[in-house]
Amino acid sequence: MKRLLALGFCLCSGAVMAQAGQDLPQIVPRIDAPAETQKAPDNAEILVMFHLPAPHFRADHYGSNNYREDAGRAARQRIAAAVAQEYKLELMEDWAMPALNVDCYRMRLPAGQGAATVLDALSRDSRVEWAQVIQDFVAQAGSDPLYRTQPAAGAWRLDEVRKTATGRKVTVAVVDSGIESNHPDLAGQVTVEENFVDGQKYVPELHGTAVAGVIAARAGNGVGIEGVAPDARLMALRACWQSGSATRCNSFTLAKAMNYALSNGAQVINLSLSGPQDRLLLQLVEAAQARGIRVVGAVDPARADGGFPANTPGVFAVASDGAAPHAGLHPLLAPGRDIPTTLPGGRWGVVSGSSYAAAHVSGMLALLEELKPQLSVARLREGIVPGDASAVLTGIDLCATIRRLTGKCTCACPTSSNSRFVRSP
Amino acid sequence: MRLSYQLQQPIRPLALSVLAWLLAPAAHAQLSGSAGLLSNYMYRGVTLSDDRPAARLALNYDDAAGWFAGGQVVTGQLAVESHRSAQWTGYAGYAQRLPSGLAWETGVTAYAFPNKPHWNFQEVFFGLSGDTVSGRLHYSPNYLGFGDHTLYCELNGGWTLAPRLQAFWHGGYYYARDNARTNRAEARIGLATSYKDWQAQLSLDLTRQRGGSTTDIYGSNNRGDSDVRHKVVITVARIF
Repeated sequence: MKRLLALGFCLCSGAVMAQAGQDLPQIVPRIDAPAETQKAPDNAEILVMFHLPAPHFRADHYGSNNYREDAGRAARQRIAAAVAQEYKLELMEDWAMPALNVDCYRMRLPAGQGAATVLDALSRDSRVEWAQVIQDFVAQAGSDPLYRTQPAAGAWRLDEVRKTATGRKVTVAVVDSGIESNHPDLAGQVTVEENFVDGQKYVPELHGTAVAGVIAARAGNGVGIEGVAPDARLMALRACWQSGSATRCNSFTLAKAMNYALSNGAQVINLSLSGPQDRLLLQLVEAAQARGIRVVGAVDPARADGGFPANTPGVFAVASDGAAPHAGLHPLLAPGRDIPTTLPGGRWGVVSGSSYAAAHVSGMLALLEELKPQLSVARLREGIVPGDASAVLTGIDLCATIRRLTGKCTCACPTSSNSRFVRSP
Repeated sequence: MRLSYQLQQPIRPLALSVLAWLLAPAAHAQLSGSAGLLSNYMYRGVTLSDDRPAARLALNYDDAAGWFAGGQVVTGQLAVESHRSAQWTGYAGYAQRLPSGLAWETGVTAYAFPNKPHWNFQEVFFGLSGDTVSGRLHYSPNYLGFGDHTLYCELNGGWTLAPRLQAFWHGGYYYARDNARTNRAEARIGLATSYKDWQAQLSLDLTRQRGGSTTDIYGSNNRGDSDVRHKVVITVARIF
């Protein structure tokens, strides 16, 4: 009853109800592959990668490791300009990605020209490491007062878990649309704000703010909700932008944000988005995994394989509890329906979708990272204990998972464990 | 035909520099450089331009496999010299980034002073670089021709303050196994900015000598007590 009353309060106070299953940003290829059979839209863009040397001694070096201003960049710009001229491309901008040893140049195709021919030619050009199309991500978007309404509050027994872990000093990168950092429930939680969307200023937006709230909304501040890991530090990496009711991102903006997260100490990267395979993003995800960073991806219910990055080995693929199963994909299940969370404008609202299920798991991983930072991803995945199948909101038994992985008893400790294992692809 | 001794000395660094040009035709090769003016050419905490302005031309070559080479020439002036003279540096090595994000490098460096060829010396170095900090250890078996075995350890770092403004820092320690009086610590903090192909830096260089005495090359005092000196250095360069 309390939960219903609180929900009613929430809705009456201007909350936004996101449509179930419509929150997840999806990748829609701007240029379908093979694109040659279709006429590409105007201003289609590609990404062209050039080798970025590892840092080394040079006589005129002045100390910093800043790739954007070093003398070597001039050489890459010359090569890129020559490539652009040769293939009749317009040079737009570049972004060094040291994690992949590439300097990524965004180039625009002539109006109406398909990308396949150019990409094929570039693949044989020894000056170029590799090239790909830019793919668009499109979101088809459509004790604190609300704590009791949070599915995770009961199912994950957050009250008890917090006695042991709160995600303290764990950095979670939220690669998403803008987060409202001064929201009453997020104030002080965001340590870094970076904008990777060209031509726009950083602005708070719905999807990013909602995801951030699930992960790390303040606990015990007397308003709103409580995040799964309320003491985690958030990196607000704006790689997506709200366009009407949709939230869009693309390969380049996401790659820039991922590159930043890798280089600036993120321990968990939340990717509440999905789409087709993307070579650049895949390499960045793999680079993150090689550094021990936990990568969480939301399962796209509209894609048979769950979409990228959820379908990538080593990524914590997360579906909303009660979601239809995917053939060959065994995602983690977490609360993803009717989730109260933070919204722009200092409001709270109820949202649904695997984006928020993924955010729950990112919060959970922040708790585990605080308690056991050296765990390998494989060990971590094996140690996640599924919840009781009879309870729809308990895709993961958080208490049992923490106990199994860290040996710490956070909730009522049974004398014997009947832990089960859940495995994700 | 035999080259004169004086002419032979800059050959090694010069050869390393020319190597870059010879290898340049490779399509994926990256050849870059800078030409600039320095208000004072500070090298490991000591001036190699007698506290006077100097000009510098530097070249660097990188190939796709990780090999690199380069060199620079500076119009320096040692304390014992009455006129400016060219000081050459050449280097070559290999650098690679590991999946962990850490990068390592190793290489050789050759320094040549055509007017004082007996000061020419070579070093080997090894370095590690993270995302924000890098460190390097240099070893010379015959530093400045004195026969000293020396180690020089340096740490470098930096961060972006604004889109076109970076702060950087550097710390180094020079250790001579056979001549402890020349040991010294040095540090540099500064700001760097850029506009199009131009770069400018402003730094404060600090040097503390253990024995207050070094070689006459540097023209330092011989009081025998510790001495902390500071210099403000401005550099403007055009990169290409």
